[in-house]
Amino acid sequence: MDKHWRERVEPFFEELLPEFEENLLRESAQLAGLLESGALEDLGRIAHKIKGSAGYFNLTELGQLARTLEMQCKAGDRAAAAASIETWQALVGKLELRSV
Amino acid sequence: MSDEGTGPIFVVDDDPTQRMILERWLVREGYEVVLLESGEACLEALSEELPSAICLDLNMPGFGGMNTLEQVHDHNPMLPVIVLTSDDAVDSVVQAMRLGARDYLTKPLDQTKLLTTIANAVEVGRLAMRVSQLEREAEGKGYQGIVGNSAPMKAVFRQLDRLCVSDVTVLIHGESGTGKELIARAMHTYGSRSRGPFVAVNLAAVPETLMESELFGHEKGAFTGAVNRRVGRFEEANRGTLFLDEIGELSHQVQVKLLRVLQERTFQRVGGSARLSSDFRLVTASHCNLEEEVRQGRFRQDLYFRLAVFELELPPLRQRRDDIPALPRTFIKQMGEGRVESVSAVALERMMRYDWPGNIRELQNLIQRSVVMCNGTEIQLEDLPERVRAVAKTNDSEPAPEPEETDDTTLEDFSRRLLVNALTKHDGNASAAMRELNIGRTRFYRMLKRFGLEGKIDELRQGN
Repeated sequence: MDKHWRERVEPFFEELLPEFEENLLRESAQLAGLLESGALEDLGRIAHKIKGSAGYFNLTELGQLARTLEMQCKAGDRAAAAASIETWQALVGKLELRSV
Repeated sequence: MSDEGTGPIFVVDDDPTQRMILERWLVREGYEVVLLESGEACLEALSEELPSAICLDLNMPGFGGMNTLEQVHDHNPMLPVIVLTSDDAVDSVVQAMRLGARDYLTKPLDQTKLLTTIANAVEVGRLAMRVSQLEREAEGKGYQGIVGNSAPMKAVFRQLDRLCVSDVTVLIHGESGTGKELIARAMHTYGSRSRGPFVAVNLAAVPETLMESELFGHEKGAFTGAVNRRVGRFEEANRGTLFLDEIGELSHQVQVKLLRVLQERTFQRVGGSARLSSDFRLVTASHCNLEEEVRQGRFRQDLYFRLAVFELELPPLRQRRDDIPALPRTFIKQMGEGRVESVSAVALERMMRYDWPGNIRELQNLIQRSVVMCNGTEIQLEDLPERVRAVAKTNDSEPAPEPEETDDTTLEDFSRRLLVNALTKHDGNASAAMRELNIGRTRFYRMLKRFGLEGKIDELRQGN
């Protein structure tokens, strides 16, 4: 994944990019806080959502990481979830997301 | 909601990206789409709309997808629900199918799979309903002994088929004696609430001073004569159907209270402080023109909108003369009178000419009288009352009257005018207009679309 990922998005989904990026930015900002407060269910739900939508924008790596994070949250594995969140932030950083 | 047409597709997902993607695919395919953010919003929308199918995300916060599915299937077992889930939630899929889901799709969704699944679900739902209609028509009978083979009654039955698999609030219009309560009862008996109570109230027969107590119940000592607590009709109808006949008879004061109950689904008994809740389907009826009552200021506009989510018109008997021959046979059978078995052809012919201002109730009373008066096994012309015997030769079934040429010739015109007025009054502020009309967001935007008023909001705002 790199900052040119938008060029690989199918034309049909291009118009949805601004909303997707806005949501991803907002939700990514919540991850660490939710983990710290122990809100694993909410954290898992965000991961589940991104897992379901990342594929539309060819963000395969992010989708797979979201699946991993979701499973870690369901298992209650905070340490593993923390590591995944760190990886997540690095991945999202590479995407250079834009806020509307 | 059209008589024959399909309803929209509900897309229920808390993820805005998923909602947008599904909407685009479905709209492009020609479907009408309603977007809903939660299970709760879906259940509320079902009281205002009958979709052809629902796409339901299983993983949603709050009430959740599984609970929503269960509720939907309980109240609308024939409504196809397609669940949307992740590819590793096998247990969820199994549970969802057991709860009545028609099919499932995994995210990220594939456009072709989605459209094929939706098309199949809509078609299966439509065919199931059509089979039900055909079975009924082939047997020559309707619901619960409601006789009707004429074209107008077949149209009523088609609407009834859809209403029975729905929880929408219904307002039945029809002259006195056309069978409004029978139709309401059929909606209950053939619907998902059949195990619950059917509570019928003729509001015209309730004294004004007792109306609130009748509907809301009262606590012991609430007023002089209230020696015991009394459970009201709202409570009685919990998990069932409440039928309020002659809804136009309500005083302004009770209209306000009824509106609040419909909005909040809670109420208080007269003299009580506890807020009670009741889960009922509301069916109302009126023989008078409620739109006119609203125009004259005698009936609240916001309450009317709440009641008239779906309007069903029952034809008077003179507009369905083809059904007359079967009705006497039905009434004779119901009387269990062994001696009289039939009606002579001559008597029947005269009955078919008569206009029946009292409709089916008048015909039923006449048959009961004639059975008593009849000496033989067949009701003859001379057994009929003078007013029927003497009727002159007339034309066939009276056609449905042509609408008068007035400014508001139809409910559509009337509803459109109310919407435009509300938007204009509030300078295009949609939220304010919705509050004034007392309708939800989903219904408001669907009405805008139906009347081609989508640009009206911007137009009004730019004008300021």
